[in-house]
Amino acid sequence: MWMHTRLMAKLNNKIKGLLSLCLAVIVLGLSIRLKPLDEIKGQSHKEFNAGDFALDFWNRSLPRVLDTAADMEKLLALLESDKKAAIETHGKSVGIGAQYSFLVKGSGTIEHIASKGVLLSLAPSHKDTVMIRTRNFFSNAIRDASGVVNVSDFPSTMEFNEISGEINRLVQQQVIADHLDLFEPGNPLEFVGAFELDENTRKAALIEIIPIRLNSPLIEDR
Amino acid sequence: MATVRKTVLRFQSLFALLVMIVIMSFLSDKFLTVDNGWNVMRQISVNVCISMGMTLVILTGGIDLSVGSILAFSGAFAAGLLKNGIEIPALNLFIGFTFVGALVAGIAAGSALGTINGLAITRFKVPPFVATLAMLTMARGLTMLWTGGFPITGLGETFAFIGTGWFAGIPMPVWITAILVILMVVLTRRTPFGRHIYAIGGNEDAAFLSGIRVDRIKTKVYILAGALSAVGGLIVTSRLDSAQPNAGMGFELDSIAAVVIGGTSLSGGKGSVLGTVQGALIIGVLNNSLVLLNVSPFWQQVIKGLVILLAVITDRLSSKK
Repeated sequence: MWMHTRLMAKLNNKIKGLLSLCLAVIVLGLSIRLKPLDEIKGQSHKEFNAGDFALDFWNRSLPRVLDTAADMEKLLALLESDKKAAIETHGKSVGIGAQYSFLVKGSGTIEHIASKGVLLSLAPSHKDTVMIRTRNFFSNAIRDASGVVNVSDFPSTMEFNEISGEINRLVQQQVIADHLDLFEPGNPLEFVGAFELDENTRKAALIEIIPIRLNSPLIEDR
Repeated sequence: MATVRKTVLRFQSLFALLVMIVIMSFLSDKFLTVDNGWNVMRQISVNVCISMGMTLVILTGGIDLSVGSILAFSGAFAAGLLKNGIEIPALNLFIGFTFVGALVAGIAAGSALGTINGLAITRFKVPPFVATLAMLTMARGLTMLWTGGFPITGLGETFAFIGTGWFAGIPMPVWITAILVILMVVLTRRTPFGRHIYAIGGNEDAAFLSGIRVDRIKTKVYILAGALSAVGGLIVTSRLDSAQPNAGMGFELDSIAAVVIGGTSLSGGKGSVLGTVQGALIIGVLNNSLVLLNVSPFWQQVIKGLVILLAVITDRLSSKK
């Protein structure tokens, strides 16, 4: 009897051990995927260069989405009347949060040259004024409004943020530098750009647009 | 009369919660709405998770100050593995982690840190306050090392579902918390392990002399507290869709507050998991109410502190009687 009980206890322990091992193997099988490291490196681990990425984005990805830019004057009206609809229709957000970015286009007349940019009275009604930023901007607006750069494609937010820094540098070098002499009050200006808006902002502040394309009828007269 | 007093004392936190709800429903029309209800439930789910572990620790007469840091490390560990995997150049091997793998690894990390707490307290007789204070710093440092001081973002929709998803009309964090509450209630009320926790908190020497393996039970309690903090960490990371290196800072205080307000005695041996859930609800409703009433964040801290002090004084007075 005693021998029988001891045998059963041993058997029970063995069954428990076997079941635990099976469970561990199943969990491990569901948990990890093994791959040769050189295969992974070959696929995606090319040393990340934010400058190269931004240039490729600027020259190839961004132009493809510029056609989707919303008309600035219409968007402002929609933001005033139905902010939720405006955000749902035209806004883009990275992850979760209340910050939305918009890709916009429009035209207007330069009213005033401020320290951070130029104030533009929007055509055709000239009821609304926006700012085209020309100096000291640290915005993610273009990257996020484009909708083509996905945060989950980057191992850290540092790399993700570096892209914006590089894009802003391209804006400064390739967009703003060419038009500096046209920034005079009274001059007409066409733009495509992007701006950020916090969903929770109750009263609309002055919209600050980071330019992607600037065009002036006067540029041909230079 | 004595029965009424006993009943009031037993359900004091529930009464306090009901009084708060009634008062708030008059003061703000936004308070007693379904949306706000889910909002409060979602917000307290993390605190309930870590507070349940804290309850067990306090029931044994200990304290765990490291829950917030363990929460941060577990969340970051899971996020890092899910996002980047592990590279072993010497073996030319890349270990990629699936969603399940990241969850298991996160909980295992929390349990491992809890084990260190438990062993330091039981084997090396370090006072719980000091051992867990050391772990608070260590785990925070490990989180900084693991993340490089930067958030780990973009963890994918499946992972985000834990913190932001809904199932059968109920937010996922609430489901997870509810299941854990049921398990912990069963564990504390219906198992020898639960009874041993109360016995150790009531009188550790007596528990030891009656044959309870005090050190083993205590170690298991700290492991459980670590694992529950890790679950909280996974929910936080999922809700934010990013592992923040400074996540969970100050959570230990909210957790201790929930336990104390819920009627668990800081000297151990008396209290319950359901009481802690009520305590967390009171803190959640209080936070929500102060925000809805537009009270300054500075005053919010003062009021929360006063509520905790009141709860401890009530506990002292009732235990004297």
